[in-house]
Amino acid sequence: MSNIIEIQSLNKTYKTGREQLPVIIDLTLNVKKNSVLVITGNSGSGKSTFLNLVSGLEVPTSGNIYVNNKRIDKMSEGELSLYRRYSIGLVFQFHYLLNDFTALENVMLPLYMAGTDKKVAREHAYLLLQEVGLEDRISHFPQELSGGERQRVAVARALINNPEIILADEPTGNLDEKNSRTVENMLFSLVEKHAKTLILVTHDTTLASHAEHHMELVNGELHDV
Amino acid sequence: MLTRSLQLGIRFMTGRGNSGLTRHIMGAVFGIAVSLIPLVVVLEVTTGMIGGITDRYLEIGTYHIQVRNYTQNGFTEASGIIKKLNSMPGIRTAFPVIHGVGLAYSPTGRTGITLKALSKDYWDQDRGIHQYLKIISGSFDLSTEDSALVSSETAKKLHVSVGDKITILTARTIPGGRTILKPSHFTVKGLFSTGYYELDSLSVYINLLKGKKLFNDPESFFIGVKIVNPEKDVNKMVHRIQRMLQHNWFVFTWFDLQKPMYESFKTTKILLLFIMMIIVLVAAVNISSALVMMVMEKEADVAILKSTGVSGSSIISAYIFSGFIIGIIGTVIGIITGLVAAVNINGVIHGIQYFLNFSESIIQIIFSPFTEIAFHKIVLVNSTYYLDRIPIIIDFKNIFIISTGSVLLSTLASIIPAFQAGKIKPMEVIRRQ
Repeated sequence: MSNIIEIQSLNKTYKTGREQLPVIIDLTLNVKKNSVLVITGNSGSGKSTFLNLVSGLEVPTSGNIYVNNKRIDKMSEGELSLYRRYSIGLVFQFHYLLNDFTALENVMLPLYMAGTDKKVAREHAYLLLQEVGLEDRISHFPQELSGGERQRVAVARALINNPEIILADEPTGNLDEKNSRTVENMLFSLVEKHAKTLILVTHDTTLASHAEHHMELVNGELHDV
Repeated sequence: MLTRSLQLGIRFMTGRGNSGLTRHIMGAVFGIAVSLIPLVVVLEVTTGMIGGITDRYLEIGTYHIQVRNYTQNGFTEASGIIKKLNSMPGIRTAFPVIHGVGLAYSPTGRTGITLKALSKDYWDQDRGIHQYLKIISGSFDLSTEDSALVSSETAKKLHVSVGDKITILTARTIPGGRTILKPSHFTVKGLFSTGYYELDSLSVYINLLKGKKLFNDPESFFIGVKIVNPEKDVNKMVHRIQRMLQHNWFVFTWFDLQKPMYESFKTTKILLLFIMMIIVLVAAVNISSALVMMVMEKEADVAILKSTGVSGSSIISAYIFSGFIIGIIGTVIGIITGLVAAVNINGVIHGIQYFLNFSESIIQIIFSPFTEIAFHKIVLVNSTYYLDRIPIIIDFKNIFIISTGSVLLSTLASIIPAFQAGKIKPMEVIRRQ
């Protein structure tokens, strides 16, 4: 199976005044299409930074990131928008739903803003909310949903533009045990059903049991587990 | 894509579930609306006042066109020229006028006057004068050589009314250069008012034949001309009349005759509108502040939208549309309220005047045991010096210009916050959250 993500000698160093803080050190990684990769690590090990670099939300200090053979670390703002719109779906630890929009609107908005017809976007969003078991909550605002439900809406939103890659940053980090398992199972089953590539970073090692590949980030360096 | 940005902008402004404009946005809309009210009122009132005064000068004062001859031939050639003018297309009427100055006195008063001698059938001939010259008592009767029509202001100074006798002293230059004074006796046949003090204060109308006897100076004589469209066609008509006349006749337009006054009106109006536009500018800055607040409030939303692939340009467009919508709503409210206030300006002024005088009388009652300060009646618009009633002319062309300018300013004011929103770095915001 071909590589969808190829990362070569990736480094990310934060500068705080005169001090330099290396977070990702010489990271090289290939991720195969439709695979599931779980990266574990302690807090501050650079897990979130790694995902932010792959999603184009942050720029590496050095190294190359290729997604579908396109170098994303050199992309312009406009190209990055298109990349985030069509190639990746993001799920954060916090749901980051828009409070003034209903669950359905939150899910359909990225698709609608990308130019899809409103009716089509609405139908598509409804189907995804149905898949995450929230078809009866479509007109609820985020404040009216439980933590687990919000995160399920966030997962549906990540899938709305039908991206090839899902990047999940501690998606169950804010949830209780029961909700964590629900979201976790749903995420993995949706990724499998829709044939997506998933990179999930977490400090929860039990999540790694779902993955074909499990790696660990220790002090900015990636190791096979 | 712009429709989507527009909908996003509306959603940002209306908040949760389109439940109405947020507080900051309401403030910005209110600011634009309130700033436009005085602008519209000033525009309509100045247009009305200037129009009212100009129309009175045109119909009663200078007329639309004056045809003059500074030689003695003027009197003799005039009747033929008037006949030709009256048959010329585009001319409503042409009539002879003699004007001069004199001193009018009655047994109980005296005042300097300007005399205008008109033909006895002038009232029937010139319908334009009916709109602005009101006969207060008596009638427009210049049938006999001793007939005089006196303006209400002059009548007040002379303490006369219809049927009373007045004497007018005029000066006449005789061959040899000597000036002789001649008293002439008149009977007041009517009192009139134009509604404008400047035209009313010193005016007396007398019979044309009597005027000819009193003022034989050719400079005192002219032919007054009223045309169909004095604003648009005056220059065209002047050229036509000039072509028809011999070289010793001169033609003047209403604008030539009162140029400094019209220029002063124009300048005053522009200055007033300029000052009012500054208020709108301040309101536009308020829009900018409201949108900056909206950028701060929606920072997380913008960040998350950008992380889902919504482009910076879509966000910028959403904010610019927000400014545009604020401008549209504020402008519509402001223009409508301003027009309502302008149309009812006479009532509004009287209402305020009544309120001020009522308050003053209350204060007077309260303080009368302690002070002997004399309170005077407050008069906001003194009709002695202006028109007795402010005429309102809805100037749609300028209303359109103001509305467009206001919406444009509101849109321009949104550009800085819009680019601020477009530049939001999703990661920085998400990290802060």
